[in-house]
Amino acid sequence: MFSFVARRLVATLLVLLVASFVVYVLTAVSGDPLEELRGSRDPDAQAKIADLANKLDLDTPPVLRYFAWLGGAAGCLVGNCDLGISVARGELPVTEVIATAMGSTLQLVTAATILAILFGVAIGMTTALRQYSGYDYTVTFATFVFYSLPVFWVAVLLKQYGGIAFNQFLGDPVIPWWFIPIFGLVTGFILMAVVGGGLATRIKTFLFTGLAGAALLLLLDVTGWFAEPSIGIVGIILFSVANALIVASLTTGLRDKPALIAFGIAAVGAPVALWFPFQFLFFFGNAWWTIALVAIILVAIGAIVGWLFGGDRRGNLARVVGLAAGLGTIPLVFDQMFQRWATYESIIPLSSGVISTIGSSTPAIDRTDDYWLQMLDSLTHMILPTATLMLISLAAYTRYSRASLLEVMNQDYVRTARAKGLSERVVVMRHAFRNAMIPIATIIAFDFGGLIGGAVITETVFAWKGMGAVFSDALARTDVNLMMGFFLVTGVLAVIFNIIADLLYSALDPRIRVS
Amino acid sequence: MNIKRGAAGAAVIAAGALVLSGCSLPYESEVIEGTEITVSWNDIIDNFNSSSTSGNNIANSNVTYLTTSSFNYYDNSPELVQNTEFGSYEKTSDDPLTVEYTINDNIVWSDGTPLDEADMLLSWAYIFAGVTDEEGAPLFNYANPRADLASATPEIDDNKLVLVYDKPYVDWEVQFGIGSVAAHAAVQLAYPEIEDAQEAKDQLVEAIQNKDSEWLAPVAEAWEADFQSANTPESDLVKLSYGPYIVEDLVEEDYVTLVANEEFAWGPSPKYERITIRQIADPTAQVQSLQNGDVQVASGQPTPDVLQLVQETETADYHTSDEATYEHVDLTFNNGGPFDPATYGGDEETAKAVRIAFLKTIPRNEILEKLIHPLNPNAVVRNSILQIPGSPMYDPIVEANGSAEYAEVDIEGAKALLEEAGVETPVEVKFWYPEGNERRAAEYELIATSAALAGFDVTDDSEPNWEFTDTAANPTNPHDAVIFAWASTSLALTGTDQYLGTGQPSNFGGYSNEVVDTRLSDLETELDEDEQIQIQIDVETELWADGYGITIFQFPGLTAWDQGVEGIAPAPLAPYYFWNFWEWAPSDGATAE
Repeated sequence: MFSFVARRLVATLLVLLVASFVVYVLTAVSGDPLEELRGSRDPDAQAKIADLANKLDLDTPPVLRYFAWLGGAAGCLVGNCDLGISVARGELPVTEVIATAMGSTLQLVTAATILAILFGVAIGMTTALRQYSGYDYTVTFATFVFYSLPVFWVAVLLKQYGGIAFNQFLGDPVIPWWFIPIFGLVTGFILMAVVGGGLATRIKTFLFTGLAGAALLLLLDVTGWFAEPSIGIVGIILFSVANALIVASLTTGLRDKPALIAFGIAAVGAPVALWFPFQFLFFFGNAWWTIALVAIILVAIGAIVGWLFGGDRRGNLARVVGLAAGLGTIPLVFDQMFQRWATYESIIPLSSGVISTIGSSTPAIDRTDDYWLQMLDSLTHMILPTATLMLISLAAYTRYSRASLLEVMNQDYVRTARAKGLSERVVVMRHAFRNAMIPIATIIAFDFGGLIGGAVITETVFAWKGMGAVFSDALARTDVNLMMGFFLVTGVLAVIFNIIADLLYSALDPRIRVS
Repeated sequence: MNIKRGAAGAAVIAAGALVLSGCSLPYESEVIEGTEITVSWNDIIDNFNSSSTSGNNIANSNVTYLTTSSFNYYDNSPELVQNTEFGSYEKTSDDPLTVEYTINDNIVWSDGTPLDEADMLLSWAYIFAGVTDEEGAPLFNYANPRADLASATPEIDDNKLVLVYDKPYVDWEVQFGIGSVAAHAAVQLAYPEIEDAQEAKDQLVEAIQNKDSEWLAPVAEAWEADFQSANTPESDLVKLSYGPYIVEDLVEEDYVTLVANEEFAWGPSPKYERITIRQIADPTAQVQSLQNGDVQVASGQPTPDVLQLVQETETADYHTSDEATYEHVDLTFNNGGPFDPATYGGDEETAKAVRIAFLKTIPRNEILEKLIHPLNPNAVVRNSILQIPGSPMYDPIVEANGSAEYAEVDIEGAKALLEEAGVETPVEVKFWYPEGNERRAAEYELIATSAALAGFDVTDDSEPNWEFTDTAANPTNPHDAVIFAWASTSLALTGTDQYLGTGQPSNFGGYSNEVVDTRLSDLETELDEDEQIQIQIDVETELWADGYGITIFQFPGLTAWDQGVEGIAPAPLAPYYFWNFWEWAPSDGATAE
């Protein structure tokens, strides 16, 4: 394995060298970094042109200049990076620009990628299980629509409706009466399609979920929830019950009594019982580690309870109950954020609503030292760009995982599993799912590698300055140093994740060996 | 929000009451506690020294405009206005030109150190390249050092500096000012062992007076490098302020927040406690964030779509106006093309007739009407090469410079000129515009169509890289006519020789006219205003009669602001809409809410 990795590394290093030379020379000959200055009538333009030409060594031909750059870049190996200065970014050192941009991009793209993977795989797999159903066709149609939409258009529309119009709604949250039955019909229809089954089941699901949806919306409207949203103990109970039911039905099934009791105690009882003491922890701790601490406590409780109730499969039950209990951190965190809703609204510059259309944070919130306010602020800033990126990349994951699971479900061993009399849940979750994930793992690894490359258009529209902006600025101003900084980071990451994908493959599929 | 506005209202009333009651305090801060305005700009500060070569750009100077005070500034006319609450300057002699600068008492940097003659002396040292290294190069990397103007070390006294020019200089009023770097800050960053600000200043003054370049070299280094900071600087020395605001929080490529400077008591008091400038490059994003309330002011060069978006925003007011950048067509005199006398065997008159004929066909009014009026209905055709419409000298110059000859498209006149000159038609004109620029492509179409009527065959010679501006690679401009824009940032009269003077670096068309050359150098040393106008008339008369080129329009600018803000008054010159930031205030309508 080591020789495999070593061989791959040497080969890719050579590829990187050649590619960096090509990129350097192509960027350098593509234009003139001083173009903007040449059109300037300012008396100091000439002095500045001379100064920059000197700093950037523009009189040396690009081919030779590359080696000077390579010398500086080689310093990175010994922790002494010199990637030159960036003309496009106020002559700051490229290393500094790239570091900031990477931080900002990771912040923007990570959440979107993870959510896209989670939802994409979930939707894809469910459509595979309900192949050729109304649900399958609807999802297929919708994902293709989103897949083919231009990003800038989706982003601007999301801002217009998800941002500006929604904020106006929040300023005066009145839901028109006719919207409530329509909402119920749509909810009922979607869930009916997902759940499937015979005609009687379908009608029952439709009626039940539709009425529940409409009732929930009516309740929220009547209680003025949209004006002052909160989660509170009621919200935490609701979420915990739903969470426990979903995890249980996917893992142990709902007929397993001891498991259900374990879920009930750890995933519902623990978060609800600990809600009050955690208030003090969150209030006085007021930092990210309180979340980690709460998650650890809940997972530990879950694991212990699972172990105690597990009987002869205690290891397995400890794992899944621990997971379900750990997920109970989510409503607790959101509860903290929502408790500060009124404070938040009074600080931010928006006259109504909270959804922001630009940037990553509100300056006035950055000045407060309330961790939860800052988190809420990040949330209101991240929601639109994350949704934009997610809508677009969701489609690919949906299609891949659908095709992959369909293929696995038609394998002989799945038929054998069914013939043994295993329940459909065990067949899908234990036998088919893991194998279906193998091809998707490769795509996920690549996507994480490409993640740092940034999202040029989304960044522009939402006024983020991440790696995408670095790339486009570098091209627009023929800023070779900046371009190479970008190339270095994305190139190296692509190589690393390529290797990770190979290793992951062998981990998931025992038939594959790296040697 | 409402509570905040209520408090703001109370504070406004309180401030107003103080004024009405005739309270005779020497200075009353009108800052309303808890108020904040968020504005947008396409770039934010990354260098706290906006005078150095690397820091000299608009994004930096917009912020340093808020953190410094000055002897004078441009308003939105545009005209130069003096700020006597900060200090004063007086021309005490014409020969030699002597200007005495005095800073008022009690003016301090935000760390409490007085602002005095040491700061002025430091400014002299870099603006006039007063200190040089062993090779004679200026020690300080100032954006535009002028070693030829005032080389003698000025005499200083308490808060006073007397600047003696080596020669008369027309733009003396805007030539000297105190930058954004404190003298003691530069010294203490270079020599951290000097802890006392006064001692730092004393040593600096001594070193400059003795031209001690060895001691000054680290100071010059710190003056340039240590003020480069894309995030909130670690050292407070870097962000020292002697203006109404001080930088509180800077996040690279995102926003900068400035908070009212408590020491400030010289000059009009600002109203907002905090100003945040957010970096938003995309114009649509700017307008949408204005609609959403993320920012209160948006500005930029509009496209029809953006303008429409602004017009649909009910909560915002907007203003379309001229920017200082102007579009023009220049002809090439030395490339063997139709406008080069060499083509006609050195016959100057024939070439001139062809040039004038071509310029007469350029449909300036049509371009304005079709491309600019939709964006700025008040735009007018620019008729002066040297002055921006609205500036005090524009009208007298336009009246006399001969531009009236080109007021309307004159196809018949152009035909007659070509016939008289005996030139064979069609005359091919290779016309350049930056490829990919839609507005200029449309201008090219209009010009080509109109010129064709008079017998010109205007061919598309566009390329995207502005190669002709690289005079090292292209000693002569390969295009016969080019269309682009010059941007100006001040009303300074000098600097036009850069593109009009014989052999100057930005003179891409090879234009050469002795009268223009001599009169422009006369202008540099002329101090009498009437005479300055006369010189510019002389220069322009030559230019228009020679068929040098033609000016078309000022770039349209668009500024939109939330109705909760009042006092926004866009200006064509830097610092643009920031010029009257002290007048920005929460509006009464918002207070009454």
